[in-house]
Amino acid sequence: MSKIKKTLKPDQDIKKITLENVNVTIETKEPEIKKPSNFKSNIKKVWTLMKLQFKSRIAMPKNRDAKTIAKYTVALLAVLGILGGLIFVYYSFANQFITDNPNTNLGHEFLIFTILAFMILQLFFMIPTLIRVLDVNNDRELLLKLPVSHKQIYLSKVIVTYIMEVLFATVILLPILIAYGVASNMHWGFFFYIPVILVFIPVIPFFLANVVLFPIAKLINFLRSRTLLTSIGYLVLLVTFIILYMQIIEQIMTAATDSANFEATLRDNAGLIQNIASWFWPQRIYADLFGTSLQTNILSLVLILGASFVLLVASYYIGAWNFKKTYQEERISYFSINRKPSFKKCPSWLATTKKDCLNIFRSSNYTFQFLLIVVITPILVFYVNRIAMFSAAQTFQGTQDTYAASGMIFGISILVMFILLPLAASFAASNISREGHNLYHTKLIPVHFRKQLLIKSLIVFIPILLSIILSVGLMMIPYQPLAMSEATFNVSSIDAFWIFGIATLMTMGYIALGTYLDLKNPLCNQVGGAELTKSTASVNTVMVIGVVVGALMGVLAVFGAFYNFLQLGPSWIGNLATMGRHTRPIFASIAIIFAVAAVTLLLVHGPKQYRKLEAV
Amino acid sequence: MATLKVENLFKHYRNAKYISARNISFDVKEGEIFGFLGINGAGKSTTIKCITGIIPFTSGCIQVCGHDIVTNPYNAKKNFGFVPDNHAVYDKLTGVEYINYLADLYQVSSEQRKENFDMLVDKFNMRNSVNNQISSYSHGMKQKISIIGALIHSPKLWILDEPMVGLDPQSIFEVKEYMKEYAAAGNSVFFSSHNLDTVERLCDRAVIVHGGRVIRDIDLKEYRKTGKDLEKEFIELTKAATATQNQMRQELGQKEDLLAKEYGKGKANKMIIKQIKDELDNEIGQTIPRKEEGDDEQD
Repeated sequence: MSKIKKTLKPDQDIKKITLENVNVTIETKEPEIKKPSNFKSNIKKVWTLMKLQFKSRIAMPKNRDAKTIAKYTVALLAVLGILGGLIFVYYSFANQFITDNPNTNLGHEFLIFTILAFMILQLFFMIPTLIRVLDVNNDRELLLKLPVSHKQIYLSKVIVTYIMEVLFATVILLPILIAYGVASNMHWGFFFYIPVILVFIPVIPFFLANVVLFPIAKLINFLRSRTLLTSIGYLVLLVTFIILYMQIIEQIMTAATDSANFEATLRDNAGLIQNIASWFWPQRIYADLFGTSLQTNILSLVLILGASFVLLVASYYIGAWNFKKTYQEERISYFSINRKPSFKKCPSWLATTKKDCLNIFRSSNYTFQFLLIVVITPILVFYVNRIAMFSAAQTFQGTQDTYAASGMIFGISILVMFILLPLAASFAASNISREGHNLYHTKLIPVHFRKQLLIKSLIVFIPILLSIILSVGLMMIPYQPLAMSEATFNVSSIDAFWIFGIATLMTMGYIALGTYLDLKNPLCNQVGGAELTKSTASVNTVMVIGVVVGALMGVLAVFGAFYNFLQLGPSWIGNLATMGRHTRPIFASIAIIFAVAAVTLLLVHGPKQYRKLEAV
Repeated sequence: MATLKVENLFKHYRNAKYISARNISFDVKEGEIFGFLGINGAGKSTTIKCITGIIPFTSGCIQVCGHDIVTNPYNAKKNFGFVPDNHAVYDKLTGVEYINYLADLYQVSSEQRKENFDMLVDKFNMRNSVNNQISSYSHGMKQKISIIGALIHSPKLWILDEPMVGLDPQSIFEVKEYMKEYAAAGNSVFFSSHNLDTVERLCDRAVIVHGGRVIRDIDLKEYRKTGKDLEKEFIELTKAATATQNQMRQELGQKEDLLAKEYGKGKANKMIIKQIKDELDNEIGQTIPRKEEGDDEQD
């Protein structure tokens, strides 16, 4: 900014001011830039970073063609369907707990357990989310190049994480709470308090996640380098969890067949249930918000607000400390293996297997998803058969025919297995894409590419084969659903052989087809752990073909067996059922033709496709 | 004996409107450091991919230590080590696991691998990082582990595509020194580069490629004595060649536009590609048997 200053020249007669008798000096002054306050600037930066986070998390697709819209619509319908089912199950359960008798009414306890279950679920999801926030290899290096501090980045990330958790609570918990309110005829105040619950329910999981985050991140790092230990740990955890889950489902199904008995059991144990619920006092405070007394409501509201403030401040400081610490220790503590290097020579096939296994099993996403399907198959086959046999025995007491029931096990097993196995086999459809930019290695090394493909395929096939063997073994165990009846159900050894053969051949076919499709159209520009399970066109094709074929085969087999069981219905059902009776040779023929065709396709056209590939 | 011999190499990518390698011939002798020069898109990387067996080629012959890369790929591959320009290495493995993996594939004995590993790890200053997962490595560290991996089986020929990109000055110096040491031991080094100064000072011989053709073969030992400036010569040569190439491409583009008006875009495209293939056939000549892309048994 410039300012013109006029002064009269000395010793001059001042009658008239002219340009000659006036000194003109221009004072130049630095323009004053009004700097925003530090606080305002911080807020602005955090806000900008938050917008960036939101965009990266919930950005809508730019390409809004019919295909994309259809994809999103199907996904939305699927979510709504699942949510609808969840609400229905929840509502039915809530009705069993809620009664008009205040002495045996367990509605409040049910609400406490609901809040507890949701908090556990949220904690389960929040830990990996916050670990990603801490991950230095994520976008932090990129963000730190901008004029922003660690604290600002951290603050933006946790605020966004918290908001996303509130949204998650809104999607899952809101309909559940409404269902509860309807089931228990709550007054209007109940619905008024729901937003308070949705906004503040993530506080406790958020605080706990921040506390356990650093030790868990360290543990993950420790386990990351111990592939075998991690894989076994995963398996044990998964098996335990799934068995427990299926046991509960079986118990519920059994109890649900006699709901009066279930309710009576609840009332008999009302005191115990109330006692257990009282231990979970933080959840009780949330549930008290919906209590009938206004005094309790207000006290609960004050406690929630006060405790939330304290816990959020504490979470911020713990989290910010973790955030800075991970950055400082980044390459020292993360991914390091403190083992003396071994230089023992091993054959090339073993070296390739080892490399592929490390590559796969050090990607926790891949390991988790693949092993989950492989492990869940025999457990689901076992329990679904038991539940179905129990229902059949209940419905047709005294008329059950062991042969026909065994036939049903054949059909149900085919249905469950043949839908799950292609999902596991579809991982072979990323055999080539998984190499990413390293595809050139497969061409450089002096190992025949068929050998490399065989190893990659076996890594997918062997766990599935074990899963098939276990499933078939479990089907053969005799099951006695009713204590009063001596009838037992199991598949015959001949049926077990059929199922084993058909499942193995179909799996081989899916793996060969998936590998070939991936060879034809690999996604080699993708690298990194997350992309290993990325849905490519090849993966989706194998999954869709597999699930459709599996469902058709399963339905036909169940239908055929069911008709045998009932011997009822019009003639067209009889014709279909006749086909159902011949499902074994029909399925076996389909499986042989499919496996031979897919393997031939891979062996004959695979080399040509492989040679065309380049990834450097 | 030549460690690497490339004879009449032709490479045409499917559906491409230009030929990536056109009658490229050269050889790399024992104890020689050989520079492969050219501007972006000149055909350097394509030629290297053909040499290493990463992609099939249309016609010609490539031999590594006397082993044909098409008919005897395993023996050819055992005799070279390759460092790509993108530093792609298996991120999920640690440095040691990656080196051991390659050593196993090349069947390097435990003793030799330990000896080579210790020597190379110390030479490239990687001792403190080899036990870490490669995903935590910096750009330069990935390049160094890639170099160690390429040399763990002591190949006769060391091939590098743009090796200095992304390296710090200290690492560049280490790589250059090791190249000299490696060649002095009777091995050969073949590398592509944009850095003319490095090539001029380091290499014994160099070729300049442009538009898929070798446009200059230089004995750099003799060249240095003349006092000529390689950079200046390179610029002059490539400038003239680029002008000719641009004119040809422009003519081809105009021809395609005319054809497109007459027959439609898709058909015009096919016609142009056919013309290129016919030109290629003529150039290869009737005496050299033409191999269809993808028909070679290279693996």
